Amino acid sequence: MITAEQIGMYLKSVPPLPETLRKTLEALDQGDLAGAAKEAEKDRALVFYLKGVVNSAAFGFKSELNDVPQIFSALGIQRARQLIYAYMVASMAPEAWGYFDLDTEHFRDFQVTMMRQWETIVKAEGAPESFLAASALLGAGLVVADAIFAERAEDVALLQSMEDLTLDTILERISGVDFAKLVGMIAKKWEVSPEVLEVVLLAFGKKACDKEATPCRLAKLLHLLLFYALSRPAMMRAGVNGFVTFNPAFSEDVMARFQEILEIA
Amino acid sequence: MRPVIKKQKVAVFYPQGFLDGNSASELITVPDMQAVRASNVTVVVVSMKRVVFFNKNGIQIILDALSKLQKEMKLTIGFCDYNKQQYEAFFKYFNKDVPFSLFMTLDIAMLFGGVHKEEEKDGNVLVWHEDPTQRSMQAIEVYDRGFTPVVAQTEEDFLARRKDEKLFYAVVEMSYLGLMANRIAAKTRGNCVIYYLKGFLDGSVTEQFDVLYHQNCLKVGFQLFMFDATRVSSLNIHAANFFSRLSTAGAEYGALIAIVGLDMEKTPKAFVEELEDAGIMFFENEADFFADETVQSMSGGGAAVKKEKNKLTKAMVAKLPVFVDATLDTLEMMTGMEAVKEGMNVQAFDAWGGEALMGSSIAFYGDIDGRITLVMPRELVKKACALLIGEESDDTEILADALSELVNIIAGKSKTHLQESRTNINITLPRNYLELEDLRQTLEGIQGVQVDFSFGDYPFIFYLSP
Repeated sequence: MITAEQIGMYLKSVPPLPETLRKTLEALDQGDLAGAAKEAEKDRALVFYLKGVVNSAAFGFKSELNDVPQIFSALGIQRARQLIYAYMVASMAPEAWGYFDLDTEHFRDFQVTMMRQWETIVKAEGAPESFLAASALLGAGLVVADAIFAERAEDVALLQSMEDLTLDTILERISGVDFAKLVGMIAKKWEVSPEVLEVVLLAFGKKACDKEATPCRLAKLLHLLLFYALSRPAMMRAGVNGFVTFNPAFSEDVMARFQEILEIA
Repeated sequence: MRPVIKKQKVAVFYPQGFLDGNSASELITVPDMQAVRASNVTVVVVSMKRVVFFNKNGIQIILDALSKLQKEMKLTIGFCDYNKQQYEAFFKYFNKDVPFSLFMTLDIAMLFGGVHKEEEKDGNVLVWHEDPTQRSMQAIEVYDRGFTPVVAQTEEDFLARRKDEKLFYAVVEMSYLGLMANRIAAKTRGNCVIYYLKGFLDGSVTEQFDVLYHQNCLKVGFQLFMFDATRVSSLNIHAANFFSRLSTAGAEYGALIAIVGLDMEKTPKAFVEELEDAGIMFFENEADFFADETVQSMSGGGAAVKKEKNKLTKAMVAKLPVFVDATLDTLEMMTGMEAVKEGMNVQAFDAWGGEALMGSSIAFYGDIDGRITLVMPRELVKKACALLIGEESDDTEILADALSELVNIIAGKSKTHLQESRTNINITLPRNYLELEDLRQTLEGIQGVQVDFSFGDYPFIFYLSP
């Protein structure tokens, strides 16, 4: 169905962090928002993406932001970093999705809404804002899943009509790798910090972690957020709900807190 | 979201995450309802095992969709795989007047849906519910499905009995029966299909009897059909005519129908004579039935399909590549191994011996009629089914189950591809053969197309027959 070779080929095709973005991120590391904006301006696709996102209802800025330094200034360091990774994920996404019933606009809405909700959670938990980037990277899993399964949609549908199998389970049983590993590989390629990468990998809910540690607690909340996002009507319609396997037990101890933060009753 | 269809009897939806008034509307959409209608199942449930949050709005929206299906198809509808907190929430939302069924696990839903493990012998089922009416209802439904209910009268009694859980085929607890599908329960024992009848039998028996299931059983080679009538008070002319027609229709397959345990004193003699004339046999009890010489001569192994008008047709042979491609594509997908074709002939079924082999066949009917049979070493079954069961298992029951699903996938794939050339078929339930001799008997005297393949070191037979 899908071989390790095909997956390897696909991963090779994922571009590394472009020079402009690396320099933008380096400037952000140094707290140099103006320098970061100056670098970002060189990437017209990034500028187009940023304008679209920051002027969406989800961000709710009072006036329209068109100037890149103005955008960076309004976002702040960590939100700007989060959006750069979200842009990388969006640039990986296909123009025409093959497996999921998604399009560019829906995927962007999914990314943006999840990023905003994640920001609310990170702030409510009093966790370092550097963890904001974690939610942006999870979307990469969807892009990878679409690329891997687009040609085998009929086989997947047949398998899923017989057994309760998520795409992640099918992938793991066929190839021995899962989406957590694939997203992890992509995140490494993009030089994501080890702390953020840890949260991303744990957020797939497959590994137990020390519940007292901040990355673990955040990963549990991010696991819930992912499934909250995948349960929204547009994503249910797009067939994304069965992308990876939800593990309620993994996040059980933070469920009440999650509901409280996002006011889900 | 498309449902998972278990054993062609139970449809299960597996939502993940949050089920509220917004998301629930996308769980069972119009095309999903159409998929349920096409599946001819008797139970539709929503599994809550990966639902972390739900509210009344969400459940009500799902219930609206399920209720439509219930009305149209006289189904059992409900939820399964919930925890105690979720179970209690259902009653809270509906003020204790829950208009659907609740099954603590999918296995319990399957039990009430009439799905039994192959070759399953009679078993005891432990039943507990705090409400005596529910308790009795569950016990009756369990009994109707051919099991012996062991009803705990108090919670202490239940907990004490549950300590010996292994003694029971199933333990029914934290479950609730709403409106149940009024279908005649069926199960297979060896080469025999047993139907469980109850009450006074009249014309409604035709609605309660799953004709499609019965036809499927005939098509895959079952020949012995026993109607357990130990709980039947009597029958009228309409019911007698129904059995008579059933027997006549089964004759071309060489099927034998027997009614066991019918109270002869309460049954008009004329009906009995008419049914005997139609070829139906009567027995006082199950033991007499299985001890009967005719029955024994038919239950030794596989049942040969005697339907004489079935011959290998040109139309069927023309579609051979579709079936072969679907088989190879599926097996290559499941095993990750490449197939090599060794030979193809029109011949009687001819399997090599000496290895632990497993076989499975599935029949199809419609624009073309026939049957696909696959035979492969047990080791190849293990590899092929690892994707479905998650690991290589050596448990015969698990392997047989997974093999059935594999054959189902192949038939489903063939069906889809045949539709592209406007050839429509329906498929039956698969039938497994753990003994090659049973399969040989089933296919005795039949000429089909045999294609021999190898998957790595493993031989593999594909056999298409009328």
